[in-house]
Amino acid sequence: MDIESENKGVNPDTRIPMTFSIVTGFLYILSGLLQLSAGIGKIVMGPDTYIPLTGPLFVPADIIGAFVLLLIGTVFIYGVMEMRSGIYEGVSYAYVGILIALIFAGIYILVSTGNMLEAYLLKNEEFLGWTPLSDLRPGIYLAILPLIAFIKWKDMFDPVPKDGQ
Amino acid sequence: MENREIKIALTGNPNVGKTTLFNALTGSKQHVGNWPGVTVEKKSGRVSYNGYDIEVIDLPGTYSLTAYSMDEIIARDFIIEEKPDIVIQVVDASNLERNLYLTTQLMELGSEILIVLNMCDIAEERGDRIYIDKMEELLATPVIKTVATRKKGICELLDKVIEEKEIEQYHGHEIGYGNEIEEKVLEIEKILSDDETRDKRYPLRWMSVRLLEGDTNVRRKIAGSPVYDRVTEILDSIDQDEYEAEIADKRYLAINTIFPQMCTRANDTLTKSDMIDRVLTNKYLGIPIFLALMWGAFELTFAFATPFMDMIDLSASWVSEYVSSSLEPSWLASLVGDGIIGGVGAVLVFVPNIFILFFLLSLLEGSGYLARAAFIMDKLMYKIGMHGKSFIPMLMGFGCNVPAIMAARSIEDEKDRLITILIVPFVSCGARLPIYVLFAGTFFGRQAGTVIFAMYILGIVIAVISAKLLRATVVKGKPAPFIMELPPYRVPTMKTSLIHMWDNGFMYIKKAGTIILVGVIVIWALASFPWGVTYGSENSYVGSLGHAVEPFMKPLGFDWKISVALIFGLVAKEVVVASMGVLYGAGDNSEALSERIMADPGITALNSLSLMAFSLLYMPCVATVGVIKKETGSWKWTLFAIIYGIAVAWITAFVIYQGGSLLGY
Repeated sequence: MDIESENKGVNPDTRIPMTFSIVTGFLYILSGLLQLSAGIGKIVMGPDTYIPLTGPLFVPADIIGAFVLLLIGTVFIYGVMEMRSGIYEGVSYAYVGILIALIFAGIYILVSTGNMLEAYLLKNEEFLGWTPLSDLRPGIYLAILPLIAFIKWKDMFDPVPKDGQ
Repeated sequence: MENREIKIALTGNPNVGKTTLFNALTGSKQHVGNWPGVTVEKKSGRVSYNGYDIEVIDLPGTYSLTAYSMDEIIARDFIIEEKPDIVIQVVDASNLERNLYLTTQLMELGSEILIVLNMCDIAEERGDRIYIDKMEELLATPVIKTVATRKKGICELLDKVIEEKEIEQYHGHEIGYGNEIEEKVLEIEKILSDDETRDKRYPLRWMSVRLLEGDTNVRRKIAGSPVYDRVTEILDSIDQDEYEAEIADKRYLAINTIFPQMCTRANDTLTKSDMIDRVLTNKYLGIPIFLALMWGAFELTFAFATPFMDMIDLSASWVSEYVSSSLEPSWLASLVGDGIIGGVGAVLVFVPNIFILFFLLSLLEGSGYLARAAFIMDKLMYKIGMHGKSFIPMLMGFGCNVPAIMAARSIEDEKDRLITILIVPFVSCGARLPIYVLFAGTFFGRQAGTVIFAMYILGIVIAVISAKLLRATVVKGKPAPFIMELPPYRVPTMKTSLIHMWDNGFMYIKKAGTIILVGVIVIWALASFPWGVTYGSENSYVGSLGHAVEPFMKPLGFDWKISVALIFGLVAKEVVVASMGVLYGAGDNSEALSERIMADPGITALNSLSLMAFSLLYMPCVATVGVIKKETGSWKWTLFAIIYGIAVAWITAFVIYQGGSLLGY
């Protein structure tokens, strides 16, 4: 249910979550598009294909991972659209975007921890030359922004009256 | 001092924390989940307290006692027929108004009621205030506050139970339904009282009201009575739908009158649950988020488990080598090395995957997300002729198909229920996971997690297509409307998640020591005889068996060894991997098994995809077949489920293998 407040003047200020959502959303979408290009490029043009910026930004050629980044970015931007229309509940998208970004960063970090055990503890040949940077990806480092927001804005997402007051 | 006995029944709306309270009272570890319908059978436990031996019965959750679904009938029949000393209605304090509807019905049943106000923490956090004294006064029923997850208020509850038992004071309360209905109630009551043979456990007023509401279950109970015709005459003279609505209205009127006196609710607030729901149930974002989360879960199940699997491999390899080299005679070394360690070990290696999968499923379930998954899929489900509620048993099927099929009991409509029972076996359970991990890990490297995820999606897609097909052919009709309460999101407790993980993971380990052990010994014997043949060769019995079914399996890309493994997989899916371990003589080493499978020219990435799809779709295991028979009560549908499953598996594997071959893979 969309609740558009009749009295927009008393709504809590959504400028901060909106700005945060715009920045974070675009970063996730750009990284997602880059990762998608790398993934498709690898399939269409062969494994040695190099897409600019993928190296320095640690972007893997992973199509499903790219969809996850695009999805997180879309959640943030969807919220921006609602908040711009004066719908206070649009802040929900910033909150859930933060949560999903942190969940996926957690998944990637756990996968990387598994790889670290393979490389350093079990000395698995397949992981020769593995370093923590081998698994660094946008899904991990971009989550720093949502993490800061999550810690800083705990109170912002506490229950408020539905009319936004 | 001699122990005295008290029998109490826990009842209440679904997902109000009955099983959590049951566990807190009895020290049991029954499965709890944050969605309606976790408990479908009554469960019993005991607690000794202050000289009393208290039997606690946990009943399935019900919104009312109207007996529209099987779990409602189970709860109602127990309260009436078993006559527990005290019926404890567990009430969700954050949803008090709606929970009181059941209270009004329990009062009519004439039970000794005690109300437990659970989840008070959630209500208080929201700013609600409940006046316990006023509530006790208005309902004429004792009320106790608890937070069952933190075991708060448990001793007070037990003290109250004992106190109520000792004073044996009945707190009666009746709702007036207006002159017209009351006249009919009295008339039917009088007629029923003329029947001396009637079941006296059923209160006359309650029966009369239920009959006027059109309760077919109660009507059946009096079908053989000499007064049946007289009752029917009255019932036929009224509009039962209108009466049912009027009676419900009166109950709500009573609730609305007393509710404001016992509770003040905080302003309608935008809670975190509301915020999360706004996004996770969004019509555009809901399904992609669900798919992304499921993918994340399977990626983690595969990738994070790998080092732990390798650790089991390494530590067990030396055991295998030591045992094989030190045992005499050679047949015994072969039995232990090739048979038991090769077979059972091949299954045990996947314990980390199973533990991680169940832990993640428990987190999803405990958070309340599974209920949302059913909600976002409802529109799609309805379009294909399925009931939205069917998605919950399907999701439960990711763990094990047996409880998932039993969970279909919460579906009221018989046809919806039957379709759900028939399609749940297509949902990939934990027992299929080792097959995917073995073959996806062998042939798809770092993409293994995605391939495994694809198998789970394939299972759901096939289930959905099957539902559409069944609805259009053998189980015609329209699905019933879907109404489900979305529980509030909660942070799942680590303890509950770990218990769930351990219970299911341990079941897997137990299976390895029982049914799988027997299976591998049988396979070893078939691979070793007739006497003198090379172990596992084509001349052995197992070779002959494999060759006998090979023509049927050849179009799917399966050689005789895979065919044999799939035949034994009929007992339990884990036996497929165990059989491969025995037939490839890999010992307790999944890497060695992978290497030998990779080296077998008869198995390629395409064959492995076909094999994974076939394993996913053909008959899950004998336990699932047993529960299909029990739940449908029909051999015809059980046989149908088996044959249909095998046919679907064969066709899907055929399309994958032949299609892939045509495309040059």
